Amino acid sequence: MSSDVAISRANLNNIERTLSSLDREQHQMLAHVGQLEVHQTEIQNQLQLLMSAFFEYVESDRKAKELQLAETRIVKVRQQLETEYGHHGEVRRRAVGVLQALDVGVVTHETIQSTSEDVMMAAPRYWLAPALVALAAWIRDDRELAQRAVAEALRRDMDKTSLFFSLVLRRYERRAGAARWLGQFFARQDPTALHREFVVILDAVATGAFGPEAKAVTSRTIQEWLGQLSSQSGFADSQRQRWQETLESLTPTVAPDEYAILRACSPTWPTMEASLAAVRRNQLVINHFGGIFDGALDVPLRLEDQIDDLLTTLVARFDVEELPLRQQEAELATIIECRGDTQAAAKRFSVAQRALEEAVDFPTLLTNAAMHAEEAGASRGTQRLAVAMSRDWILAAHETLTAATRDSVPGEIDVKIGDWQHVVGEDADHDKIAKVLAAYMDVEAEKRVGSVRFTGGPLLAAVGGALGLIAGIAAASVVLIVLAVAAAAYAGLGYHGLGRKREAIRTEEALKKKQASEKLKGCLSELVDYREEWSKQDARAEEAREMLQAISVSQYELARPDDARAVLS
Amino acid sequence: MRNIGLASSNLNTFSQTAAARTAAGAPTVERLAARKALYLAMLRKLDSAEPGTVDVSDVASALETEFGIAETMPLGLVARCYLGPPYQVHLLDLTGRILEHYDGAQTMPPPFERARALALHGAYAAIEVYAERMVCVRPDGTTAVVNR
Repeated sequence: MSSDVAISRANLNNIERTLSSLDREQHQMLAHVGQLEVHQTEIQNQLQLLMSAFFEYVESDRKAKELQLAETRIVKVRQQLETEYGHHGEVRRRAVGVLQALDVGVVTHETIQSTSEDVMMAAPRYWLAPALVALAAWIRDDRELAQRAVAEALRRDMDKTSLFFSLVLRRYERRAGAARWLGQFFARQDPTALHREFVVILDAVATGAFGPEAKAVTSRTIQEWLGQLSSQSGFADSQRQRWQETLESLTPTVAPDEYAILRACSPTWPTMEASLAAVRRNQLVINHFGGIFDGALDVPLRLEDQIDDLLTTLVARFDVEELPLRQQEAELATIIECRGDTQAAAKRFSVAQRALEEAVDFPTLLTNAAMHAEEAGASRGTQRLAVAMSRDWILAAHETLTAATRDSVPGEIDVKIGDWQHVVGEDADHDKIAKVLAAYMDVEAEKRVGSVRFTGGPLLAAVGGALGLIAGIAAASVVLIVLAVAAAAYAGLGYHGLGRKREAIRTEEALKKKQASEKLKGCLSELVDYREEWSKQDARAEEAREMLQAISVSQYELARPDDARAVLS
Repeated sequence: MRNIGLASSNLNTFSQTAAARTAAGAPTVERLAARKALYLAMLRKLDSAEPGTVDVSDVASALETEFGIAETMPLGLVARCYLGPPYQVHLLDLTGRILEHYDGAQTMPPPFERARALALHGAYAAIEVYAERMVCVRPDGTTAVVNR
């Protein structure tokens, strides 16, 4: 027809070039989008790392500040102790000095009397001052003054005065007198509320400082007390409970960089971590009690030196007036020990604090001497005796904790990688699990690939193009035909691009699968290590049990060689 | 699962007493003192019990000797099974008076399954299962309590 319009080839070439260029740009954009996704994941991971590092830094900075503060404050507390109670130290030194001067015989009685009267004025309310006056009067054979001074010392502190004279008389081998003072001391004692200086008695028994008479009085009284306490209902249970708390305070922490992959992949990790910390405690129990019984006891050869050590402990360690400051000092020392971790320090101190309480029951006194010897003023020998006396309770507590730890270890572990979750039993086949993960990743990859379809714009363009072409031919409209061809070309390019999109997705999914598989392998490998470590540490519970079972009280009640000879003669 | 029905009049009476003593309101004092020799011997016999070899009067008298009138009875005893694979543990259910052996795939009834891990550990002769607690008994009779 004459009205036919010649279709210009040049226009179609332009359109084709433009469409090719569009196709290239589309592919480039697809590639960029893929890269962006990878970068985004990397950035997220790095952000996580940065956040963890930041919080770790904040925490360690806080701890460093607490540590510094504690170190400053402890110096102030010690200065305060020296300022307010330093004069007590002077009286203490003189008490032992007087005894040693008498041994050597280089100081006159008048000097000793004058010294003792000086301290009487320098230390009002302090029981040791009149006790020293009484001692000086006794040495001079001034009975009247001695009696008045003894009465005043007893009025100020009956328990410490009785113990003091018991030890002094023992020092001069006045055994009967020493036993009578000790009997007077015991008569006033309530086994449910003993003052801390009672630990000196245990010290004397443990190191053999008491002669046979005094030791017999002590052993009989302690047996009676234990009998009385055991007959109370719930007593054994409460002792076991107390020792459980004490042993639990030895529980270590699991470092944040241990079992890193397992920690990240397993929702069960908090339970596993607690179980691992509990089972690691066994070694610490062995170390603590093993350390108490290791090595020889350093008992002075001369009785006088031994009694002087006990007297020094008695007069120096148990002042009631100093107690609040001593408690502050101990609390700050605990913070320093824990390197500024105030939470761990508070937990440790709440157990150690009992050792600084003014009056405690006999079993608590034993616990304090066994676990917090420094605060309780107990020597190594006393620690051993206290542990031996508490052995049954310690064993029961250890058994209970061991059984609870064995019960708490999870048999089945949840593992989560991305959206995939699996339960790993104790005898699980790790290769099978890896195959399950691989199959899951394959299914997810296929789903994603399958979702790439000929749809949306290109599909519409194909339909529109076909309709347009029919309409164009029917109406002989060149414009419609051109548009239809253009739409068809666009649809064709869209279809052609599907293959590449699917390929890009497959590559990405293959990478994800590889990473997930490596993560799973690392996780399962750490799980094997975890179970091995757990079993090894659990075996130590049996070692600790045997060690504790082997302890007996009689091993730790020493006798001096001179006492044994005296008994035989 | 292998059932060994323990049918005897002694054990019937005993298990009625056991049921009464584990019911709500029953005494809740678990015995924690070391287990006696008769009881421990009974546990050892159960370890490799084949059908027909369990002497039910042994079981009844060991339990009666062990648990005083004011003490709570266990609901059952779970222990490692030494019959060999596939069996892992056995359960002496005192209220149902049944001795059953279980393999790894079978689950014991609810109060008892919890004791499996401890029973399999190897350190304990048996685990006594109570409503609120478990008591682990060592071969030498010493006990340790675990709260549920």
